[in-house]
Amino acid sequence: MVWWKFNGYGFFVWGSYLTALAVVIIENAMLAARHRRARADATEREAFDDDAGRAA
Amino acid sequence: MNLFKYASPASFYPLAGRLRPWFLAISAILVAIALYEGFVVAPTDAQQGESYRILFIHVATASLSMFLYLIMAGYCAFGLVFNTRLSAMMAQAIAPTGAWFTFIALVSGSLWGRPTWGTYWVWDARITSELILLFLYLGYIALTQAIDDPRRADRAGALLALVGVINIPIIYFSVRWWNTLHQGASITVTGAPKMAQAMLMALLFMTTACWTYAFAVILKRVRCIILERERDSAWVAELNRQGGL
Repeated sequence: MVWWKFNGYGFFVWGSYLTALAVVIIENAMLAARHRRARADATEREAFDDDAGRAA
Repeated sequence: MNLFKYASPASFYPLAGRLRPWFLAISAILVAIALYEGFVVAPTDAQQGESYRILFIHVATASLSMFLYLIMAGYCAFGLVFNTRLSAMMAQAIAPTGAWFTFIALVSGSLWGRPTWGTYWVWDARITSELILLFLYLGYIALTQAIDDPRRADRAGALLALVGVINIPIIYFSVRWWNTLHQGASITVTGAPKMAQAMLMALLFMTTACWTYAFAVILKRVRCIILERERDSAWVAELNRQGGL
């Protein structure tokens, strides 16, 4: 028996686990992008405040 | 040690950053063990053949989808009663992960249903209530995103989450209350498990792996939420200067 075919149930078994893997990849990619945006926004605000302070 | 200091976003942000890599590492190790146990060690099922191996991901994610909702609702209640900012942030951090786990449970259940019942979908009590759980998660996310004022959004979302808690016992007890296609519990608190030891070990490893992965992702997301909401505060500016963002 070819083990990865799971006796004819390969589509269903692999489909389930690959769906979970896809969710893990998508979720972490979205989170990484969100964290980058939040950090960039926080850094931008501090730079703006610094500039405003110097101008004043 | 005063644990209450971690109720402040400023204190919790660096703690979450330190804890996350540990949860990720533990999750990766447990997933590897679970997959080995589930695909190599666990024997073929007498009735379902090899298709039963979907159980390890399906049961783990389905149970976690329900537990995460209860935890989210708990944070919502805490936030409503004590008006704590971090509680609402945690609830919003949990919701997307809970929704993803519910999605995986529904898809894997559907793929398991095809060889077992001959159909990808049936309006069975448990499956339908799990679908409602997904709608509750999505509704909570949509509602909290739709309201501009964060504190009003927190309160509105909390009310929705708390009303939806009734769905969790419906999901859990549906196989007992109604004649359902979905099988009953194989693992109960009061009785011996109805599955082989190797299968049980794989399931427990996978469930623990899902828990630790969920913690890792939720900690990352709550850090994002804290940064987004507290970006004008002095501690964020100070942390940015130190390179700790």
